[in-house]
Amino acid sequence: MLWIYLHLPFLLLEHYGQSLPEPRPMATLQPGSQRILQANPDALALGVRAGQSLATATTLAPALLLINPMAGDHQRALEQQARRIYQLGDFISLYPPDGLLLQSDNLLRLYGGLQNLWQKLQQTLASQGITATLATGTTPGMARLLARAGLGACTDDTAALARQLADLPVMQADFPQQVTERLVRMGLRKLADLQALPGKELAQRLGPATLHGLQKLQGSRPDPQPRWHPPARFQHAMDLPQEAEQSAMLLFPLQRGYQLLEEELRWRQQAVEQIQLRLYFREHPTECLSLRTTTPEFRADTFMTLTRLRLERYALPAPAIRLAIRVNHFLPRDTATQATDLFQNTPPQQQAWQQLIARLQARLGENALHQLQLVADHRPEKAWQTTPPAAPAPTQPLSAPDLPRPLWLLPEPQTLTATPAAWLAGPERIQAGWWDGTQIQRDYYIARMTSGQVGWIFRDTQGDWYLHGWFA
Amino acid sequence: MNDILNQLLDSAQVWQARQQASQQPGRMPTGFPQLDIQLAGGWPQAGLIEVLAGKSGIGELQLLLPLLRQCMTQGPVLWINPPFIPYAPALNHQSISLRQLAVVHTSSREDTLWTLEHSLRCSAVSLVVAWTNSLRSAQLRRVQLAAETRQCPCVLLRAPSAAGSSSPATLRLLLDSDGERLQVNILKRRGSWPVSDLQLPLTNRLPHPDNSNVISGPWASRIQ
Repeated sequence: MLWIYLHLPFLLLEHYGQSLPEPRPMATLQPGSQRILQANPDALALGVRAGQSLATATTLAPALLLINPMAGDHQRALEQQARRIYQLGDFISLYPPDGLLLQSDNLLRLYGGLQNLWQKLQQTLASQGITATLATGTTPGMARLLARAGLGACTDDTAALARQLADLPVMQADFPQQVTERLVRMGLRKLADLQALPGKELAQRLGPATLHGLQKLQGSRPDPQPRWHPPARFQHAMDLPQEAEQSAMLLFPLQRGYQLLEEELRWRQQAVEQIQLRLYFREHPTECLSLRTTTPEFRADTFMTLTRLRLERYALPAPAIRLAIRVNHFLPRDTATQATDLFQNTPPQQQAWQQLIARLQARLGENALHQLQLVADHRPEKAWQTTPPAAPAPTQPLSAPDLPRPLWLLPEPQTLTATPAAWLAGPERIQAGWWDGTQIQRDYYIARMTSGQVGWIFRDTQGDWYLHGWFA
Repeated sequence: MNDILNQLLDSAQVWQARQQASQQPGRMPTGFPQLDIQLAGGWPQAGLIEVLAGKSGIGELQLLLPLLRQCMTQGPVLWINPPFIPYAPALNHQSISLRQLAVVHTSSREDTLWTLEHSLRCSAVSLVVAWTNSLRSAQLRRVQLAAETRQCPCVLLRAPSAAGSSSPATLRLLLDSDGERLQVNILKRRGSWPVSDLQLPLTNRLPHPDNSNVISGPWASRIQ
């Protein structure tokens, strides 16, 4: 078994750095204290060091951006990287807060050797701007220790790896603090010293857990790894290092998020129809915006255009601190459109029309746009209905009877106030609706008003006259 | 003197009556022969067409239906802010393809202008018909520009009170009706003078124009 461990020492800093348009000095704070935990290269160049007090650090680098990690931040950042590595290999385990383990046996053939896989991993992480130290190992623990010690090399030489492990100082072997102290006091400096001791003695003196840990490192005890699978929905959260006060400031981080979504959709071979944008504010309840495309879509550009339109008419109620893109349903890509997309045969007109519909809906609201459809009903109000645009066509076109109908229908019949100048046609009795409780009985006439307009008027059973449409 | 005249003619600053062709290429027949003659063959294929009609129900849609039918063969048609419900059975009866018609409602002038410009820029849309009175002259110019750039007609229905103000439209028509026929006044057309009082017969408006079969009763006088 060959394992590769990816140690991501600056994960959180780099995770936050992704949402910045340009690099700037950043540092994380130690939880619960006013000291620097970690600084990024820009901050290091200015003299900021780990362990410095907050005051010293901000004096050295006035533009320093301080990040106070909250619970769950590490996990989120790690899962985001795991998602990317999952595209290269399917057996992944998470080692919070900053490690990923990849089982590589079955990948070696796919990538044509360890060397290629190694490079591929490094490229993937580098493309994300993530610093990583990689190491191979014959056991998960070995790979992990070597990677954390920075001793990793691209090798599958079992003997060499075992030698490296044996040379590792006990201090770096990740035993509990107490155990490490006892080992050092006993004069055991390297793991080799520990390995040379009889197992029974070791268990007696330092507890069975220490022995088991050592055995797992050496591979003489099974060390099962929990396997991680990406969840079946997409969620990408972006912590904004700077509070966004205008909705336009959300666009840059969103663009990145959409690119990730597009990549995810590409390898899943799926598409989405609805995206939810969640905006988190410091002192305001979370708000949710939803974006809808007319057809299943996977391109980041389209999402971006729709978002831009949606945000144009949205005012942030408070400065936003966090942003999340969420997709709960993936749709299979329509095989028909997929085929036409592949050969670039989708009628560009149809595509342009669908884009226009999506844009109009994004700007004006989903209900602002509709199409008309015939309904087989005698009641004039119910002989038509609105449908969302670009919906599938009704299977058979209804053949309406050749009866006079006005082109304009009034939303509600209006009481007729003046006697028409001339009667042109009628009456046409419409009596229907007894089956659903909205029965009507009307005698419809076509009449010309004194103003020259031609109206569709009716008399109900009470003898009242109403205007119901115009023959425009 | 001749030199000055020639210079003017060469720089194309003077319009000459003989340049007007009776039939201009790329015109869409209006469906009314009388109007076709006046409009050099029909509706212009690009640009803003303003139709000023005070009242609904005088036959303003009858004038536009032939244009709608022609454009729908090329792509979808967008209606922006129609004043009433476009009644699907009647449209269907008039051979308007409901699949090719989309209706948009906007709530503000900015949205109307945005929708007009965006839909005119979309390569799929073959015709945009908008009912609006709120656009200003500068905004109309933007719409006209968008329509001309994409070579797409845009019909704007406005109130007759707009007749007094200037407009960048390619064609402006003022409609009125005596109830029988549609009266068309051409307020502005490219390359010719205004024409007033064209009478267009509206034969297709009512399926049975014959009114001999109206049954009227004593109730007719009771409407107050």
